[in-house]
Amino acid sequence: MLYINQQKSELQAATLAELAERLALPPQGVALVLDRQLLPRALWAQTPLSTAQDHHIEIFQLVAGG
Amino acid sequence: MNLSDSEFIRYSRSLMLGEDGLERQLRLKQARVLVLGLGGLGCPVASTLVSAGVGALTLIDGDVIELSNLPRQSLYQTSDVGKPKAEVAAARLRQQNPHSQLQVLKSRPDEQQLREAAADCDVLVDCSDNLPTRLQLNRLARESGKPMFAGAVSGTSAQLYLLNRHSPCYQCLVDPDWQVLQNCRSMGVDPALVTLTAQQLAWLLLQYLQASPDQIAQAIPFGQANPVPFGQANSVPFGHYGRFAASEHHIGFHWYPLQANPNCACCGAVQQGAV
Ligand SMILES: [Zn+2]
Repeated sequence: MLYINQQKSELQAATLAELAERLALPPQGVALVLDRQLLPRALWAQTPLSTAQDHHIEIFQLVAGG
Repeated sequence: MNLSDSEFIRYSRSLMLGEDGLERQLRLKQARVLVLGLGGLGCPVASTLVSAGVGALTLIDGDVIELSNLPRQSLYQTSDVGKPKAEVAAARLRQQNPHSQLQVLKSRPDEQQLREAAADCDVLVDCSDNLPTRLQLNRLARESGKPMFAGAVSGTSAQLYLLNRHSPCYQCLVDPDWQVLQNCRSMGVDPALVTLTAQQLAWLLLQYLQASPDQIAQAIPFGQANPVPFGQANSVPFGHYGRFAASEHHIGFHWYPLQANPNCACCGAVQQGAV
């Protein structure tokens, strides 16, 4: 089961990149935490999501203000 | 090096914190910290570091004070509008603690100026308000091997990065081709959240600056296979990203290890070389 920002999700995806596509995430400025690891976008395509286990995903916007 | 009588009195409440209080205070006195950006994050960070007894700061900001800065940029007053931030900040900080040596850059530094400023400092603190400056300081941190403590706040989001030469870098996460990230001009900002974030950053900086070389060496190891000594005294969890969140059981920063991008144009080669 996938949990996205604490909500159960029915989405299925083989990789994080596929999930990002399903969610129509913007191409810039988004960060993703998978099971407590912050994963650079460059790693999303090679990061598989298993259906055999729960995955906790958090998606949020990176900001630059100070 | 020792403390003067007046410094002993000034720092007496910090000196009471543990048996090595004096050594810790002397480490602060010997430290030089670069603070890039003297806005909502930079004001409280610089103020806490100077008040606590950090011996020297390099303060960099090319902006002038605007009326819309005043709700959160605590070193400035209404009558300061229009004046250079770095100059006014330094004047206020000197009143807070005359023992700190302050070096001031009140124009936007070019690459070489920033490189030289970074080379003189023990730690680089990114309190800037835009992506190109953040990436520039990140590059210089890598180049110089200096640790970088970065904060970023916009809207109701607050983020912290604790990076050193052993950890992934900011550019692993943020692509230089990205045109912009959201900032306070585009999103607004919660004044108390900026101050809280700045003080979290300042607390971590003071932990790091007061730690002995042994304590720092113990705190450094971080990697996928190496559990982080998170929460130990003096440990700064380098390689971690912190994000402010309020949930049912916790209000504060949640910390996540940042994974390296092996193809990162800034640190990728270094990372591969180190393996
Ligand atoms: Zn990197």
